[in-house]
Amino acid sequence: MNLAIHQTTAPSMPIDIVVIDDDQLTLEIVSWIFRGSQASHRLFDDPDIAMTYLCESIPRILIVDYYMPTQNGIEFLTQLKTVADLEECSVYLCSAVEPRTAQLEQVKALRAQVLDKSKLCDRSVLLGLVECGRYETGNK
Amino acid sequence: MIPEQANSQELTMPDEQLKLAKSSHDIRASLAITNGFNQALESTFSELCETYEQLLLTRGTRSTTDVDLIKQLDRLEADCHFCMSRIKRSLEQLGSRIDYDLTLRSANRAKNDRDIP
Repeated sequence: MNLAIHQTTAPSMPIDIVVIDDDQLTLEIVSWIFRGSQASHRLFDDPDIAMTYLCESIPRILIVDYYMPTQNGIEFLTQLKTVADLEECSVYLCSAVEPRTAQLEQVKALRAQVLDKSKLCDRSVLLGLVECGRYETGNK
Repeated sequence: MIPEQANSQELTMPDEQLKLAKSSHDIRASLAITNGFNQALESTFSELCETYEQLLLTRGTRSTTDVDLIKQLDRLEADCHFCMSRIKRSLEQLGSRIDYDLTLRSANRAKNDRDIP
């Protein structure tokens, strides 16, 4: 099932947030959090479909899961950076465990931040992130 | 949960370690999801209680407010059921991930024991 159906703005407007995660339950809780909120969002469980979408439209905030079946979040972002300008986009790599030092270096090189999975599933944190456009993780 | 194939940038990591790292990640991810739905259930149930109290206060007035409140109660009840079903699913997912992690660790221990001369 692809949850890329939650577009709530006109196609020309930059969307608030895009979340890419292969875990359906994660996308369901994110979808629940945004229900009734003004934030425009799109959710993808397939990184390839997300890549096609992101080549055309960059959101204000992009959250990518680290562990995905075909490629990890760092590989996804590296590939995305070659085809899209992420200058105006806050990029987060989502993981449920503390990344290793080598991974953190890669995340920094991509000008991304690490977002703990528990924060992605937390209503106040996620809505606050969309409202303020940033989340202080101390690793940027 | 079957672990996915190793990603190229992690090929330097031994396969067992990679599987264990992913397994730990998956367990924590399930916990985060369960917590998220638990929070959602908590807030929805509070809203349901408040709505029910409001309905009790207006009981017998047969106003349109009653109809609206009853509709709201139905919606909130459905939301509670949704959250509970997702908590159940995420707990089942957590259970199978813990089982897989235990199998992985015990296989690793057995391998290490065999490797010791």
